[in-house]
Amino acid sequence: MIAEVMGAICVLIGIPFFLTGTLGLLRLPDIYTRLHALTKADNVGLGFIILGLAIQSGSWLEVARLFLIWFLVLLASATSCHLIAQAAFEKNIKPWTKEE
Amino acid sequence: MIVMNFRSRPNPSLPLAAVAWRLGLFSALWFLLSGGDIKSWPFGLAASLLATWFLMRLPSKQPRRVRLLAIVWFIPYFVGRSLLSGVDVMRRVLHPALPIDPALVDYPLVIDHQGGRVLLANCVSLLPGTISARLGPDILLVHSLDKGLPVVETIKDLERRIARLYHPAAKAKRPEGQP
Repeated sequence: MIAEVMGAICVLIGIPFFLTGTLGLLRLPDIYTRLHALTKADNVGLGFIILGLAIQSGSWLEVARLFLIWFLVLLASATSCHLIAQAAFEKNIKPWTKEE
Repeated sequence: MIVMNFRSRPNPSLPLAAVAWRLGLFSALWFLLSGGDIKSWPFGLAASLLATWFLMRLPSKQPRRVRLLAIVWFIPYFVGRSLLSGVDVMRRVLHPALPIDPALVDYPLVIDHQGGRVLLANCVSLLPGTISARLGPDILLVHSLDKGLPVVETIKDLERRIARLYHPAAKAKRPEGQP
């Protein structure tokens, strides 16, 4: 019962981070700043959801599998973030800067 | 980030122990992900063989042993930083005025181990306010969400922590006289 509630709380904490990632995609001005929002907010959001599901799960194998998934997503998202930023930079896309 | 470089020669001698070790690791990974379903094993074995083959083809110029205890110590730092960075980006995006002031920053790399550099570039994307835009031979180009953040100091600290993961400790000290 306690585990159920704790798990649910963690999942609920994770959701706003995913929303932030999407809101950032809409509000931020260029490709680089959007990458910031998507990689970071989504990683933390997924982290909380994984943590919540791990607390609710009954078996250690499932917990290990959940954290393995988190790790693999982390690796994939950091890699693709870097590759997209690098491709944008090589295409001479200038980063947006604040007007002085 | 996996840097593929197929131009260099693959490892000429294929040490059986190294192949077996990697194959075992990938099979264990598959077992964990598939939950031990027997029907999935043909796919798992094929994928493990393919992954091992890829891994053996990658050049390993500087084989370095990693320090397991140091990795354990690195995890809470990494999780804490990721959390901070998620909260930071959330605060900026939700703020009505959208308080960002982006800039590109050159970070001169000190760590000499290629694997460590790749790990650094990946971790930089998870630190508050920074993503790595390009990993050059000696410079890591970083995009910062806010000029006011202490980008160089933060990455320097991260670089020192990453250098400690390798055994013997990878060089992370800046040579005298350089900024």
